[in-house]
Amino acid sequence: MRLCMRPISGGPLRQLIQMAVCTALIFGVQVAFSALPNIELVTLLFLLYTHWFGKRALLIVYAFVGLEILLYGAHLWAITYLYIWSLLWLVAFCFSLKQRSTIFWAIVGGGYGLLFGLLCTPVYFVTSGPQAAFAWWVAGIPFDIVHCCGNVLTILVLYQPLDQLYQKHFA
Amino acid sequence: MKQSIQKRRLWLTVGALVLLVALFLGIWWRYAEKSTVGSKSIVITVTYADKTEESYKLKTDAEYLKEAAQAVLTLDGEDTQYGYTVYSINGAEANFNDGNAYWAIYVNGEYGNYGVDTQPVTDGDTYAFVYETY
Repeated sequence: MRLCMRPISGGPLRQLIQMAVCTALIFGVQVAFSALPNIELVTLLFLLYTHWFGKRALLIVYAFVGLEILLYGAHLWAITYLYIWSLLWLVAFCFSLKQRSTIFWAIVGGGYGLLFGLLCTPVYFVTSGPQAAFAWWVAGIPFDIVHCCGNVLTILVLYQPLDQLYQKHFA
Repeated sequence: MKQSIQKRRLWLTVGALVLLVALFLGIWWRYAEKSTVGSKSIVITVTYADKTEESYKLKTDAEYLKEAAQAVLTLDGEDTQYGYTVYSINGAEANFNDGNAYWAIYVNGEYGNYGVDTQPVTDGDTYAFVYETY
């Protein structure tokens, strides 16, 4: 099954409501899965949102980041969140311009999970220096590998059914 | 023909991801902090909420900080998905589930990258438990 980015139908209000519901869903899912170490559905949902909403998905990204900061407080990780999820959006947006398979998105999500720690290191590089940033990244590699495997599995299992559900009932 | 090229590209990408995982594992194996076996002389300090500090010099065979610390401190906590989480030290509580404080771990003055049960113990190092808020 090949998937490609499609414009959503309906007026601006309908789109706004859909995006608000999607923001609430991704935030709720993040909180619900927070007990599991690096097993999350946020990557899967952001890939789908980019597929569904295109450029507008970036609004959901920053609404989600804002809610996360409100819930957990503004710490160093909050600075990484300011660019790390928009980077995923950018990658997904660029690749969504062509038709891609579910396996392709699973690889994108897996790669993103694997590189998540490395992508966070610039903040630790600036605040604590290169050695501390490297040590921090190395210590988290097992978690990044779990993140990678989790993303691959969740995308392989859920990407297509969720996309079909959306296209059938909400697009 | 075009489909076969696309399939080959896809499998090449899968292979690249697997190789990247292997590379990361190699880096972790080579550079992750490791504990040393045998007797080690270490210092453990505790800084409480009121900034009072206790310091303990000890010799230990423990490979990880939790076991070494339990020789001189009363730790209370629980196993979580991220490993053992300390909620109180010598009865002084810092529980982020019930407030905005936690026990931070420092190794030789640097913020620790591991939990108390995964922090390797190395001869000559100083480990600090510090009450911190966020």
